[in-house]
Amino acid sequence: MRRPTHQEHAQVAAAFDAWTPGLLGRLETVHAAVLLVDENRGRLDLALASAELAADVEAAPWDMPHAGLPLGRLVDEAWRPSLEAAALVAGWLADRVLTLRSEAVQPFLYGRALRLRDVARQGPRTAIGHVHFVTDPQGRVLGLARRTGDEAQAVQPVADLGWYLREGG
Amino acid sequence: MVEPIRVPASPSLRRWADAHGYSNEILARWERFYPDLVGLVHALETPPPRHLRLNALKADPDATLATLRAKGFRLAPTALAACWRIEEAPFAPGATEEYLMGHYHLQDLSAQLAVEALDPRPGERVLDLAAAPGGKTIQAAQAMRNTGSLHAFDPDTRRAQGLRSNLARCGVRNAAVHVRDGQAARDLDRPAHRVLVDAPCTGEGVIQRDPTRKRLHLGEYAACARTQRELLHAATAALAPGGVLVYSTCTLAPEENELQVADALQTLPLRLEPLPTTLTDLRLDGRPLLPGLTDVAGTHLPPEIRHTAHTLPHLHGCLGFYLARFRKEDA
Repeated sequence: MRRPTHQEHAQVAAAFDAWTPGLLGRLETVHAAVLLVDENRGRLDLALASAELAADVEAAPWDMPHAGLPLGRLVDEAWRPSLEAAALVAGWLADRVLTLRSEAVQPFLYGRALRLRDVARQGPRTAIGHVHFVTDPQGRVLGLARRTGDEAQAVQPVADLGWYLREGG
Repeated sequence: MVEPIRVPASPSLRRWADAHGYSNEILARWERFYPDLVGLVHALETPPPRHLRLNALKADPDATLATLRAKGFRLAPTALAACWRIEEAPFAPGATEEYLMGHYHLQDLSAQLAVEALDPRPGERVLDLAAAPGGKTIQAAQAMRNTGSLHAFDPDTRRAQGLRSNLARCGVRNAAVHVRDGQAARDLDRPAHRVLVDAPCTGEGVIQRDPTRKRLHLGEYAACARTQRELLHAATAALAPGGVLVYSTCTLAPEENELQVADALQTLPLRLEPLPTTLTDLRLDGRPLLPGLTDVAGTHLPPEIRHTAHTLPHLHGCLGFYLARFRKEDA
């Protein structure tokens, strides 16, 4: 990981802006943190780190690929949020949120696709083909999912908290 | 070099060891070093208590408690503010949404004492030299309010993956995970304010979780002691003058505890400090922590070793643990 160049920071900010204007700046300000990046086979891995950690990373005698809180990655100039980023920003992006009925929470956490009727509420900017934040009825983030046009599998999990049990270690 | 302490076992002790699946050496040593061997073995034969630690980095602790209680968990307070004993669980505590969201993590009360002793502060640079699976690292990040820098080491790729996952789940953003042995910490350019060496050990204190530890042989104590010594030396090299080093284990073996500390006092620019009053005033199951042993099999150790402390399963209602707090001499 390292601090981004000015151009990289602008690229990331633009990708975050596509979700809502000023999102990256808001993240950095609210959490008094800085962006770190790591080039990884044509994509940019992103992390949010304390300022002191960022300084240590820059002064480190070896590469530090696992520093800070993972924010996801930039692929083809589009931001793919991580689970951890979803927890930080979903509350600011209510228009991109799918709120599940309580009985749909467990199936989602098992990584299962859901029906449209499993969704209690959806924000005004939810759209087929796009990735959205998924929350429980209390508004707590459960993961990310893609809306599809298939009513029986209308909510396709992209990432869910159940991953921590299945593969997180 | 620390030699394993050999204590002969009486015939009656041998029979008792056989009956409970222990090696003769372990019971003979415990009988020599600790009070109430019968009580200790009885405690080790019963399921250990379970504890959780609330994570204020991700959720309001009171809200988390209320949610868990509404789900049927019965939780009791302990002497540590964020640590709760799980008295009844309707289902696995590691399977709730709240656990997955990082609102709490599962960690024995005894293990939480190490970071209490370390007392990391916001803005500091702190090293955790044997960090996986990450409970103490998360606790340190909480105390540091996600500021400063935390460097967590583990040489095992799979364990390091688990460490990273736990840190991410709990919202830690001031930490870097290094898939390296903790000895690599000596190569970091910037000295640390505090270093935690929660050392790999023979694990006698966690027999309730891992009964294979009942059959330890004497060679294992010496092998662990060698690794611990190397970590202590690396930790001291990475620590700034005036910085704090906490050494901890989950074993009852003096070779890995008091004798290791005595060796450090002789060979490293460290002096022992009393533990913080949050620990010296602590009462677990109504009892204070047990002071470190200053007489080990006829060897008299420096009196300041009484500033180190043990928890024992039959006395304190938690797993067995040992900790010592050092201060590095000023340059």
